[in-house]
Amino acid sequence: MNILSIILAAVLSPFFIGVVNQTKAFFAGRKGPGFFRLYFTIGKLLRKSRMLPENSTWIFDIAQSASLASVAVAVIIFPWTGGGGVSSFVPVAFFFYLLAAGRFLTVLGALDAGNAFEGMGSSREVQFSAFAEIVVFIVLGFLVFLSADTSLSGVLSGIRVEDWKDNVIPLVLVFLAFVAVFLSENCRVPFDDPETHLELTMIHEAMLLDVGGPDLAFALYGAALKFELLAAFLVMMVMPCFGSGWVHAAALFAGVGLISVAVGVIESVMARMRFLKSPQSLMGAALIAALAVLVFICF
Amino acid sequence: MHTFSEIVLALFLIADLALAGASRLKSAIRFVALQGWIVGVLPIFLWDWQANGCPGIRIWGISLMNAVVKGVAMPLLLSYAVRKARTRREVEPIVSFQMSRFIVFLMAVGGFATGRLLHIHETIASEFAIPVSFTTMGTGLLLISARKKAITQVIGFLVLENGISLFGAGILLEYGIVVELGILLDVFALVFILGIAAFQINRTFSSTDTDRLNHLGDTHLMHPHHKHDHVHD
Repeated sequence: MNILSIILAAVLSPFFIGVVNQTKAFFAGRKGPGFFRLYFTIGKLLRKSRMLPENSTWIFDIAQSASLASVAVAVIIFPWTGGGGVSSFVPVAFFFYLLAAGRFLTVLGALDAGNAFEGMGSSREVQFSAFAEIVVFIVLGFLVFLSADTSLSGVLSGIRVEDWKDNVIPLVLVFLAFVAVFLSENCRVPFDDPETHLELTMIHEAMLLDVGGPDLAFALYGAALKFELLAAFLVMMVMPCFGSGWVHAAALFAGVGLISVAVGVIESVMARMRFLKSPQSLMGAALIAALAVLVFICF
Repeated sequence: MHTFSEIVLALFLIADLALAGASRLKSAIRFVALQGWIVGVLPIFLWDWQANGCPGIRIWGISLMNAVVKGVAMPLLLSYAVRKARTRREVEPIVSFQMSRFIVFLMAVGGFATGRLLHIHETIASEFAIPVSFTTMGTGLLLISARKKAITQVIGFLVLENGISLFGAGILLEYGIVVELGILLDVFALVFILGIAAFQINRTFSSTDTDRLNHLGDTHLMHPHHKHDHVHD
């Protein structure tokens, strides 16, 4: 059952990106590319042959596949069916370090290609994630406090109803702070604009300018997986405990779908922030998360 | 309804942080309006529905009036003043936005610490309302003292008032209404007068920067480029 849910998660992740895009198309009055566009794109890219930049070394060669591998491990350890398996003894920080490792490998690959624009993209990527990490760890600290457990499934076992009654303010604050991280880490509006895919205004994907063919497919699929993972984390921060099993997994995937729709709506009604404002907003999110911890400790 | 009131108070705290970091007059006015709405609906959320049944006409009345005056009338008046005064749309900070946010955060720390020290948990409607109102009052004072424009100072007064009425709503659900009405009238008059004053100042001196108003007294010490601001009458 656990393995089936992991396979389901791996198969469904491009679909959620499709949901975001269809929501945006609906708001813009367009027909949209369809829910399954990313599957076709990945399929097309996988059939192409590889091209490597002349000056690159073995780092560029393995960067995208290794990055995808580390995100895939995060998918495997995530408690999709509500606990059990590996997730009950893996610490929750490990989950975020896996995602960070994926990002680190992408950055290394981009720097190895020796392209100045990719260097700029890497610099921005690292700068943003450095700010996002502050928020992530304050939020994690809060969740560990709340659940009195440091394992991944312990933290993500669902918020108890009595916690919702006693600690509403901190939960709402922490949720909003993590929404900022979620949008920033997945290069979504208002932190970044995925419409400018592979262009220089893009922050996260300026790093992929030299990547093509199967490597680009890996990068796109890895991004979709990361979107799904962080959305699932977000859902588990507010979802009450349903017990474990298929009901839990179904509720989780439905929640991820809802969040995808919400992201589409946000992107339809908001413009991208000025570049300098993004780290400031992430620091604001860190302050909100710190307030949550404060409220939790005081009351 | 207890849960709702706390969610609403969490939004209030976030509005405080957002106000400290708002770089445009329009967005600052929007956040003040949000706070006004929250102050308005809070008495209904804080009302103990299960024990007391449907709240009386007095609660509904004060709630509606607060929401309309603070959530609609004053923001409209403020945006009218901004439009009329033709000032630049940006907030001009003396203390940077980042620093202001951090100061508001420290105020929240102080607010929660004092809220715990006060020991008035038995009588009040919501224990979160007190620290949040302290933070809001602090934010108001910060906006008054650390921003240059006259309009921003009006916004600061409004935020301060929101904090005061939040305190009132949190402690005296039933008997604070008379006091509340008095404050509301004061602030309404204040916004009205300051709005007109800002407009008039601007028409005469082509700027509502309060730093420059300081120079009005000593005519001979004025900087040359400020001379055109000055009127001889």
